[in-house]
Amino acid sequence: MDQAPDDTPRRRVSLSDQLDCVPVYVVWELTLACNLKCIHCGSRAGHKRAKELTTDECVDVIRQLAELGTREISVIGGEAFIRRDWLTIIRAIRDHGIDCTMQTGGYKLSGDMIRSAAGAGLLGLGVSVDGLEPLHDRLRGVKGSYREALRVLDDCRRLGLTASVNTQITSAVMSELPQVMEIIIDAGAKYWQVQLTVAMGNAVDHDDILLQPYDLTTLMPLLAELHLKGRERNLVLLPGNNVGYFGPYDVLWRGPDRGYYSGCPAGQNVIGLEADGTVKGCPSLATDRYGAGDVRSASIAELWATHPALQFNRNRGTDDLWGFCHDCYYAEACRGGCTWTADSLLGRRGNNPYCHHRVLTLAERGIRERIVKIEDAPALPFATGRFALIEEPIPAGAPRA
Amino acid sequence: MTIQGKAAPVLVLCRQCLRYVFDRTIICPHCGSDARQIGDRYRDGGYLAIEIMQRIDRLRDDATQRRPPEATDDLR
Ligand code: SF4
Ligand code: SF4
Ligand SMILES: [Zn+2]
Repeated sequence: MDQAPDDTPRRRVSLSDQLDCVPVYVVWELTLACNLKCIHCGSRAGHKRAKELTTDECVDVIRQLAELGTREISVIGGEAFIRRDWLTIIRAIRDHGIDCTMQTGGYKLSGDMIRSAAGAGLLGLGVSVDGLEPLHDRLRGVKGSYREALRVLDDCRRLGLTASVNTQITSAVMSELPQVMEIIIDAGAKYWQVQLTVAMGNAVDHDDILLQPYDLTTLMPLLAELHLKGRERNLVLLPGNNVGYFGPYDVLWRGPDRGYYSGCPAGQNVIGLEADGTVKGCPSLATDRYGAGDVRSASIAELWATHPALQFNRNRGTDDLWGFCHDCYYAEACRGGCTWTADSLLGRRGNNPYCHHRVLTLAERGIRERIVKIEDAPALPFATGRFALIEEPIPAGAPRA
Repeated sequence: MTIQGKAAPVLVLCRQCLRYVFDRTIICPHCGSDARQIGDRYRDGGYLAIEIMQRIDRLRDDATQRRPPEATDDLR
């Protein structure tokens, strides 16, 4: 999921949050309508969903989440601001004592709109920058979207609103990352959240943009270098939930002060909401496997307490793990990393080849893993295809560590 | 309705190689050293101070949950 940077104190999940399954953080797709055409979009956003929630229903959702103990709601889309009532929703979130952030592509989000959102109580804005101008515009499917994203960052700086940048890591962006960092520092960003592009929706159609698992041997040292350089210039580079795990650089970005990766929080401390009220443990998970009913058919408290599709992380078992993850030293803590990443790729959670510890361990045995698409994804939001995972000897001359 | 979840196991840094290991690990599976012996990188990187703060945080969490506190290893 596109997330707000997770080092705000209110987002930190305490021991009691874990034991009591408090849905601390909610990511809410306010509408599936979008003015961009991203070729990596997992939800295949564009047109609004049939039967999106009304304003009154949205306010009631906020009331219910406040009662459950939610402390931050990040509104996403499509593009959240395409809804006419987006400011009313932001204000209602704040009025219920919940922090509100928004993730956006920034296209046609004017300075006046940003000012109004800040006035309504928006605490931070995450803006997607997926490469330098030609690459960003190609990935986002709209010419001019890069310039708009940078203009939004500049507007945030002028208005004093905390801006973070989200970057999807595709195979094409790796070599551009150092330049992207320079540009977003100049544009005033304070946080930079990077996330691997996941094999879902449009990204399955364009699978050439996906990283190969073995690309982590190049990517992770690069991110470490950028993290250290960024720190000197007041930019915090943060790994998204699918960037990890437990490799030699984790100490840089996951602690010890920020805390180590402790497994996927979907359904234990995170809720995802689709615009028609469908509840999931995380907004990015495949709806057919993880949809837990909708807010029109039952209260969120009831779904949260009883629906089987939300339970899979709560007892922290390792029964779901398979493949390399099954026998991994970190299995009990990590439990296969990001459910979304593994489940979308292989059709089943619990085995995640996008893991630095795994890549390094396999490399010691002279092996690497490669993914190959074997089945396309249907033309539906959050649809998954199928990939085969192939083990092969590391070719001579390829990087190993 | 009470919902019961479980908590993540506690990981700490190996004080030699700064990779994560399970709490109370003696021999680090990554570097093969004594994970409790404070190394130069650990001390000089300020990790010792952070570790003490984290232990205080965990004790406070344990008290809130009325769990028996973890044994405090000595910070040699
Ligand atoms: S191999 Fe799997 S369980 Fe082990 S650290 Fe990586 S993702 Fe987590
Ligand atoms: S599936 Fe889990 S780890 Fe992945 S983005 Fe969702 S909540 Fe985070
Ligand atoms: Zn070690």
